[in-house]
Amino acid sequence: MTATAIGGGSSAVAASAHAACARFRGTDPLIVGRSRRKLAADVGFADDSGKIPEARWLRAATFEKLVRDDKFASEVATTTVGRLGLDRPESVVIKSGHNRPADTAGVLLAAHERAVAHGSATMIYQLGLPFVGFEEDAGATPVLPDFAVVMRKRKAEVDSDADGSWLIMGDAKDYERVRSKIDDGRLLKGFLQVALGAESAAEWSKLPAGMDVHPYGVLAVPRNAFLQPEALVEDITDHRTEVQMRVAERREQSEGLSIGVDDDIVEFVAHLEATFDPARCATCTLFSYCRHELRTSHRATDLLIELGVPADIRHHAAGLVDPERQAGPIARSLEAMIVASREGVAQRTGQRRVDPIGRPGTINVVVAKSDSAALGVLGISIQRITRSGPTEWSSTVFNNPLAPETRRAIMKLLGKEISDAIAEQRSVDLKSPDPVHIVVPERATADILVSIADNLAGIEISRLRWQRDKEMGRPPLTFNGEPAVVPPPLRELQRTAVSFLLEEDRARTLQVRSPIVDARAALARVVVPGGPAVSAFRLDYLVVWAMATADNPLDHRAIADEVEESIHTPGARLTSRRSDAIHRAFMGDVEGKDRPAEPAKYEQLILDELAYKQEVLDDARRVLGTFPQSKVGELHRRAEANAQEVWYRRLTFHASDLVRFGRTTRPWRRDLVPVVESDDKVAKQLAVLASPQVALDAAQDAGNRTVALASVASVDPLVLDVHSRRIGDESRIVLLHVNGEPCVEGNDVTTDKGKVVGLAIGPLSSGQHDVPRRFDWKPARTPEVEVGDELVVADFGWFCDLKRNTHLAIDFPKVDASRAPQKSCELDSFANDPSGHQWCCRPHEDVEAEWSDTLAERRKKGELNPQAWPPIVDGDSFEVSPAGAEQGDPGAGPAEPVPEGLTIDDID
Amino acid sequence: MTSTDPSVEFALPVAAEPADAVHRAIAASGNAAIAAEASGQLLAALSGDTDIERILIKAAAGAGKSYVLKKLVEDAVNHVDCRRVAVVAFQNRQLWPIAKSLGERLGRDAVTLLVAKGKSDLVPDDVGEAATVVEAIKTVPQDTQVVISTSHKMSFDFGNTLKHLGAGANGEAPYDVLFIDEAWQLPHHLFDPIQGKAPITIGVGDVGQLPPLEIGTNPWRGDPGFNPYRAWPTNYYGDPDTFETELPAVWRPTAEQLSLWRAFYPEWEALNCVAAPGDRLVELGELDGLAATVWAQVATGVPTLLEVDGLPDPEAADVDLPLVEFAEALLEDLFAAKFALVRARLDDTGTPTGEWDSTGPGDEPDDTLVTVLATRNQTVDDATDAVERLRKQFDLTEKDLIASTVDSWQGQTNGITLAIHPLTGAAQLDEFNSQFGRLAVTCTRATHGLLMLSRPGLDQLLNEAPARPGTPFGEPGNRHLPRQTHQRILATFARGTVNVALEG
Repeated sequence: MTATAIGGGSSAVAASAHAACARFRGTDPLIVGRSRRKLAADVGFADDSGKIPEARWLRAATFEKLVRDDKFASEVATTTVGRLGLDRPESVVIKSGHNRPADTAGVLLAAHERAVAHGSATMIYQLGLPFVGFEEDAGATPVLPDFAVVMRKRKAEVDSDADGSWLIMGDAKDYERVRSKIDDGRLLKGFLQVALGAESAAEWSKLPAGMDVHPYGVLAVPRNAFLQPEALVEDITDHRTEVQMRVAERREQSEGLSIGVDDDIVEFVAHLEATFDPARCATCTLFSYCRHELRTSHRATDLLIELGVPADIRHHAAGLVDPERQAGPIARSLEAMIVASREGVAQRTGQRRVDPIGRPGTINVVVAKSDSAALGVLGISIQRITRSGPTEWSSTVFNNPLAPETRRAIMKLLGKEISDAIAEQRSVDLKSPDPVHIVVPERATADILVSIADNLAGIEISRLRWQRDKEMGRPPLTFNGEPAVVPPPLRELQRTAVSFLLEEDRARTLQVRSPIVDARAALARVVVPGGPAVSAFRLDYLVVWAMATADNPLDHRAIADEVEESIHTPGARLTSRRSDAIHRAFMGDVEGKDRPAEPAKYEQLILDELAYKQEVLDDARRVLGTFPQSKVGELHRRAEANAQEVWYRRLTFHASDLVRFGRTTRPWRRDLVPVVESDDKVAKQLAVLASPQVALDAAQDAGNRTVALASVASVDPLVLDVHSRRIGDESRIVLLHVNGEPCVEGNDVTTDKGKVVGLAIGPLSSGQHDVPRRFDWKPARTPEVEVGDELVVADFGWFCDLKRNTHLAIDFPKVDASRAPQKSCELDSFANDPSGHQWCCRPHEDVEAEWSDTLAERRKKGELNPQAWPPIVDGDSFEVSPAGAEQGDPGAGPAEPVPEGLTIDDID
Repeated sequence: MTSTDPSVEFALPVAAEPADAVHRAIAASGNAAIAAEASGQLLAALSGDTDIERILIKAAAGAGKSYVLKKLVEDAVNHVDCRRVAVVAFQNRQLWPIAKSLGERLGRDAVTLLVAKGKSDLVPDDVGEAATVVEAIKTVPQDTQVVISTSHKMSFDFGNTLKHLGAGANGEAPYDVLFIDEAWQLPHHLFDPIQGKAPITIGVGDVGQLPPLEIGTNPWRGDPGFNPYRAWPTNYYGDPDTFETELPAVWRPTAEQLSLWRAFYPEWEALNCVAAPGDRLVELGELDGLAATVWAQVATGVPTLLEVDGLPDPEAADVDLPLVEFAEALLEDLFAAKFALVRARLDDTGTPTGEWDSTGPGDEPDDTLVTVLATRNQTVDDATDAVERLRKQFDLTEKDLIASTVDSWQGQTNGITLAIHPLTGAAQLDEFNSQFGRLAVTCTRATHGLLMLSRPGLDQLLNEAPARPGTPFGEPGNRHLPRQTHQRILATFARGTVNVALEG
């Protein structure tokens, strides 16, 4: 009998993600009788885009193994049971279902009996369950949930006198935490997979009598940057409905449609209509096939589909690609992308530069990240821009990417540059120094640097607490009460970097702040490249477009292919090929202790990769240099400098400078509310003022009532046609842009300290016009415009409440000065007057000593883990492990090949 | 609209009618029992007989919670261990009816409405006649028993109340009880500065409606710790010193709307409707064509969704002038033919008195007859233009017909609601069209009829849109996914589709 390949848990996720695509639905393995990967190869477009890097696979496999490690398995089982309000288990038993339904049935029965009779919890790993609805089909591939927990129901949960048990379905996912948070979209995917297991178990005839599938499911995910699992529980009722709906749909489709032996698979696939979206479809194995179909299509409007223009806007955009169609209202940014693709020339947004890239005080950083650990770094290159120009790039390769020493070394390197940059800025202007910035090629580089800083800050804070324990004669213990290894202290240079990066983390939602500058975002602010928007998320792609000239237009498809095929990336994450090559050089072919196994090759590969990243960032800096500076840039710089002044005091006093965003206290967060709100307002105002594209997008957004398009109907007297149903008679407006040129950049406009002088501001009035929405305009300062000019105007009241029409005021955003030393604080202020300075310059050393005493007191009373039930969640979640804890080193074993048929979608 | 109109047939709701529903006095007694229990808890706390510091009364929309709130205020001020209480809400507007009604019950001197500087002129006359209105705490009469103010005003007190009025019977804080109306709309960052004003806090509000306002992207969404924008009562769920309870009955809807109400409060133990089938009627004038079918369907009391095909393209999915104009045409027919909203009068216990009330255009009823609700400001502007044309045409007042944003209509009641469905024309599920608090406000205003309009394709969208996460992990609230929630809600609507391109 041939096996019916239904697909595993990820098939449930995919079915939900691609449900709108008839081609996806029609090429279900149930219909075409082969795996999706095989299908792609059979139609001539073998798909290796979702190929998992070996190191990444090892990490996933290591994590899954750790979940069943005795210590963690019992911890995961206990916390799951605790979170669901069940009784504390008498004991935890760990069993395997060997990925086979027959074995799983036996293990479940025993677990049920154990739960009912003894109140024991059972952690079952590697279950095998018949796919829901396919139990009768002996050849159907089973669903393989990573684990499940069985536990007795509480008395209140049972209807009859007989005891019952819960089966709590679970899955292990080594989802990476980005700045200590796992993205909700990922969790959704994870819980959909759990739901497929839950549905399959609930429908299975072999489920023991008296056992029910719990309405909640559990995901084991890394609790921190290391591979130590923690349990997240979630109500999966709706997830199960979602899975049911998709499974029913698949069955229905497969019953109505099947491919005969003689049918030509290529023709079969071609006849199914695809719903293509370059951003969403990349995880589908037929992505290349569908894209090729669009690329070679003769229908002009198919370009819009290829570019990812949303379906509900395509009819408006058709005029841009098809001369026979009319163009309708469409956002300026989208129009620019379509025109750039059509012409092969990047479009300018019309905004001038506001970023500091290339200025003295900026530190350029590129990183090559290891796929085998969230915080693993293979190498780093650093360059500083001094007043006398850029320094040489300096590169460091790490032979032990996962080690704490590597993280400390990185912070030391960065700390040195930050200190030197600060010193230089202060040497120029001690009273009001310019800010310093770290410049990175994309967000992921920033994220890894900040995550490393967070890790070291947590360790340092723990160390301060343990230091106190030692002084008080207490044994140093982790949050869960296990013996701790006291780490070495954080040195001053390391602290400077850690503290600066945590400042960046706390400023993560403040749009005007820029401790770390993303070069890609800076470039995207001034140019719009051709090709799907999703491609522009790579700096090298964007740089090629920004450097190209009109006399030598680009083919967006060729550029996209080139970038896709490149072995290098501009950002922290590597291509699978490069990652695999480095991984093999590290591990070698034979088992051994010496790592890297081939040091010269290992070093060369990493240096080569870093060189590419440097080159891209250099090019980005150079091409940005060809764009003029905006007047608004100085406002951005002053805002950042004001905030860094406070940070510098935090660092000097050791006062709340090691606090990541997620650990800010309750009163601090309350203080941040007005800061976040003022930043949001200022950011929007600055963007509308300086960027014609942002302003045009806002004016064309039918829901926006403060910014509008207008055109000049007459110059003397000044009469405007205003395309807004909101701005009209008696509205006081300010002129922002004329024919795509920002007025704020005009020669006679000044922006000193946020006071913008030189713009045309004044009231509209109805006048005597027959044309609807035509108004007289009497600005205090007459703008230079001509009849027919296209304008963007805004409601003046949205900016400020000034009475006169002479200028416009932009407030500087409020600074986060909560728990920060005041200007008047001296280094001994707290020591001399602790109560008077407890909320400003109180150093970490003092705060942590007090907290250490509090924890010791609570521990004595049995209020902490492991005594407390249900277990207490560690709000700090510092990344400190108990002595001797298994951390999961994917580099420990020999290289393992990635199983055929799995894609990055299965683990990410 | 005329007899040559395209026709429409309505299919009954897919969701089963609630078999366990009870009405009238049986339903109303559920609320009375909870109110009595809460009062008992409050009085015991005032006497110092329990350690309860907080009482949270969760209400569904239209449960009569203001009535319960006012009763508790009265019970408190009549207690020997209570000298003074404060009543706080997020918005000024919410306070006026409370001040009026408490002033009428307790006397003008006993009730003081504290408003922002220079704002006392805005207070309606009938409120000023019932309660004392002041602009500064220093002018609050010494023997006042109830001080009513916004959370904002109270947070900028800096100890002045204590200085001026002295401590309450508790000896430390200026008030003995702090009442918070629409408590689930008040975020932590506004609650924290006022929570020390009294030793006992009572929060009353609707848990399923608009959450507190967030400006920009809230960076703490999903944070396991303190989220300053989260509704403050959520911090005390499961707290041993907090008494939590739910009001199990709603007074506002027709019996036929109960399934819809339940879809918004799926985790409630019980939710019943005081009005029984037949207690509310809409008497329609002479209508014909499409309007006749549509309004007859709305008059059944069953929530109605009409998908309108064949209109010109909209400017944007959610700014849809042709759909608003279609709504205007339906309203024009309704008002041209005249109509009356009829209801059986029930006493405080939910028992019919045998009398009937009937109101129609021109009768100046307490609650507006027809409200047009939309989410996007521009759509509301368009609807307001339409409403103004109709008012002119039929000589109507604001009590007959009004257009509003959903957000500012929170807490209001009207006879018939006409609203645009948030998923109309949408290409996918997103954060904005899946804000169920806003949809709940839209759907739970009407005492007689609910009509929602949409472009066609809701089912297709709900079948095909990629799944998206619901409440962020780590946030309190129900754990449902947007697609399934939308489906549960739509299942309670009678539905029809009309193609107006065929017209004429």
